Amino acid sequence: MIEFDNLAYSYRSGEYKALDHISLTIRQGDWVSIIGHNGSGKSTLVKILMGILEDYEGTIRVGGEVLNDENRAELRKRFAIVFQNPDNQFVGATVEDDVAFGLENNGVPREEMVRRTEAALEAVNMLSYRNHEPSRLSGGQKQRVAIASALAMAPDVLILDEATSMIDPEGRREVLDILQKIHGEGRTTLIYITHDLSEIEQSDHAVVMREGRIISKGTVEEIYQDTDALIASRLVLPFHMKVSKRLLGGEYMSYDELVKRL
Amino acid sequence: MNINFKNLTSIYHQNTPFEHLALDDITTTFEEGVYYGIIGHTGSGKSTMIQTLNGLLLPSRGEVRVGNIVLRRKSRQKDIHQVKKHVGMVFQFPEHQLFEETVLKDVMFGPKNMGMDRATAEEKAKHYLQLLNIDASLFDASPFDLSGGQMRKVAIAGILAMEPEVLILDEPTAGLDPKSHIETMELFKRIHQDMGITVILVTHDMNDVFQYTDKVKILNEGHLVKEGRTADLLTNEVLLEKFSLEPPDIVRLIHDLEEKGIHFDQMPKDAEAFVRLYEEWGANHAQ
Repeated sequence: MIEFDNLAYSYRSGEYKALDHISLTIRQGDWVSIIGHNGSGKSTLVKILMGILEDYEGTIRVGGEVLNDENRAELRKRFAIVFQNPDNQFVGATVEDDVAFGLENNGVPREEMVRRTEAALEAVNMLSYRNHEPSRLSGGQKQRVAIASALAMAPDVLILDEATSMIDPEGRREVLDILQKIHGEGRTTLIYITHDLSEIEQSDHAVVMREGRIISKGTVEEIYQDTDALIASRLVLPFHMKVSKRLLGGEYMSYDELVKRL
Repeated sequence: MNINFKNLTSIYHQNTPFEHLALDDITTTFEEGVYYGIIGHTGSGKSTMIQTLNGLLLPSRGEVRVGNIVLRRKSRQKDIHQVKKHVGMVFQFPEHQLFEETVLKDVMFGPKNMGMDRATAEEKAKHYLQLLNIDASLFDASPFDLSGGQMRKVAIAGILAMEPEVLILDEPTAGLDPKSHIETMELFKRIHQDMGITVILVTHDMNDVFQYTDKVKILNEGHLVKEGRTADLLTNEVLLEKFSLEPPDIVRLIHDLEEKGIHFDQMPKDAEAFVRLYEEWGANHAQ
């Protein structure tokens, strides 16, 4: 479980624009989407979680333990992240080397390293590409390898920071399918950062952020219901929601439901 | 100015074990003033095609004719430079290519490099910066002090200031948030309409292709498999499925409603247009 209590951060002193006293609890094993426009504070939140920004106000508890200077390095090992650009996260000459890199760095014994690398590649359906060069893969494959590298470290929490925004629609589907599978196993908490409302459907909970504040949070249905909050947060409704809002009123419905009701 | 591909073949790493046929014997025309979409699966040859369009890649066989200039396998630098003058390319993340000390200098760089004198280059730069709503107070600022959206506009102004007759857009909205995505696409629409230039858009976003382009060319494994009016090709679900392309949202909805027995006599371009059409249909239906 991760708890943020009154978390605030400013890039300039005296202003709370980046993160303005937010409180949020994320349960172990949940898939939580954090949605917001550029500058809404979602990236600041990630940077604090990853220990890149340390000078924040408020408290963060990880598994009940308050994050502080002494335990920060240790607690950070429970987090892994996949970034936006699939081309900026490779270090190995082959897919397998890349996934093994983090383990090697942590001094994991060779036998265990091989086992964990294989298991991670298997989890993202990329084991048959183990000897391929990462640069020659498609965008979706690259992001799946990046997820495998993260999973090999056996994190409690996997953060995906706009991980699908630079890949094609097919790659996006591949990544979301893999996340669905990881989520189904129930061990890893997923924090999915996005500005695309159509990508949050599979998550358990979602949080909408604007100007450093949490505007709304709830189940995906509850979030979708409050279209005014979404529009005010500079988010763009998926096509079928635009149509249903205009023709059938505020109630959220799936695409299939819309077709039925028209 | 038209662009013609004649039996154009592009091969990477020719005569090596990595030899790869990226474009296979393509003959086609890009007509002046038309807004084109190039679509196809990853690896279909889209990137190769646009790099060939502006002289970044020379054909392995065949030729590309840009106005009066012909590029072949062994074309000279002088001709390539001429083509770059006529064909502007907005790469993915164009803001990564900013480098000058000030916004104005950055936008002036391209036109000066193309041989424009200083005064004219400055005049053009100011004109296009203003067209893209970059305030004059920012002209002397460092481009790196601007917001991401402003940086992208400055980079685009730098391309426009060269006054290309053809503008190529390579995934221009990749990594943008939804509002900026719409703003960027509307900006190119305005440029296309106001300046009357040919625009060639390469994207995976079928909704954008449907909404903004006049004509499309579909590539598959290096072959040009279909070309025609966007309104015809992107509403043909059998064709799209054959090349693993997703129909635009609006096309999918119209087709699903047709299966329910609701028929419309036209194809709307976006959600707003659909809403109006549906309300009309409802009003007629009620009588």
